[in-house]
Amino acid sequence: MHQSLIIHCERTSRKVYSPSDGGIGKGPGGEVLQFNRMAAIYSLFIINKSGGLIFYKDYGSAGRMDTNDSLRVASLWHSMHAISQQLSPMAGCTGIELLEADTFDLHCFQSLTGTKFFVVCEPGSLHMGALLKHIYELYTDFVLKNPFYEMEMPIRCELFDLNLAQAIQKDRVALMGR
Amino acid sequence: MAPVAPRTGDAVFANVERVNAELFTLTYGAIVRQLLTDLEEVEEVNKQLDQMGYNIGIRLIDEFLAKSNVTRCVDFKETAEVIAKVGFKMFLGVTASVTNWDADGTSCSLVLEDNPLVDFVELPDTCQGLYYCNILSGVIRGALEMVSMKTEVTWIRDMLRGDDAYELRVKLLKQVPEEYPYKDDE
Repeated sequence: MHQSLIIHCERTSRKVYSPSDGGIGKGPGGEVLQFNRMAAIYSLFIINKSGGLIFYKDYGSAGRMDTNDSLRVASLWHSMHAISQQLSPMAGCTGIELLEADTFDLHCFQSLTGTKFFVVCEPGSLHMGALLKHIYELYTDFVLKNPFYEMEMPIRCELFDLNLAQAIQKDRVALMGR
Repeated sequence: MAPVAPRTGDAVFANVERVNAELFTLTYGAIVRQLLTDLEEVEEVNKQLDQMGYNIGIRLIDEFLAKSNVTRCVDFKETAEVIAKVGFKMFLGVTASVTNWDADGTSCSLVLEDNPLVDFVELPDTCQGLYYCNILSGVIRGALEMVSMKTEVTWIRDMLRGDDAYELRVKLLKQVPEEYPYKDDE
């Protein structure tokens, strides 16, 4: 993906990890390693090309929001994404890919057909791009190929849920082992 | 996000799940046969096949993009090449060649030497006006529409009608900009 904006929000107080966060150990050189906390995904959104939220799921208690809030976040993100393309000094900008904030990172992937996938996760989480790409594949396999799914409508497909849960789980495990 | 290298048609084809080619060919045959029975008019069947293809195309494009890692094409020429070399390979296991470009580069022909849809087909006299593979033209039209290209796809040559190859004419009608419909002065 060519020229894209990365917005860095002011990051004044990065969260300090404490042992109660779990998964902190000492490396061979005594350096502090963070394990499973690295993989915390707070929530996942999918929005259709006109900005409607078609899928929302949250993971864990952090960042949980009610239906209205999730709809609001989705349409807000859709607009911000569009504005960012206009704001870019370079032509051919494809919109915000990563938004970094104090308490979360937001990774966004937009397919060429205009569907946006974004995850809200813990600051510094790695490999979210690959995860989003994988979720896009799951979407094409288990949502679009379902003959009873109507395009642009909210996703209610059990197979998608199931495979998505597996993908997220696998992602967690992979990161824990790192 | 680091860009992922686009994959070749062969690479994708090797990785996707496949079904028995005969099952596919026979299923398609059954569909066409049923449409002929239901709609009676050959013209109507052509239309219906095209519509079915369109409905497939608008969904298929995402799978194509997701699995091939193709990035945005710079022009219609590249688009045609990608359809012929990656798209056809990925979903039908054959490749097409792109020829007969017109002067302004908005229409071209996709020529298929080999077409798995017609393996066992002989067109009877009663179905002379039938474009047996009309679903393919619909698929291309639908898929391109989702990436903001309005096209018209027609059959020029059809082996079932005695020609020496399958030739699809793809004409770019207009490129719909995917900008949001708001203007600054509105």
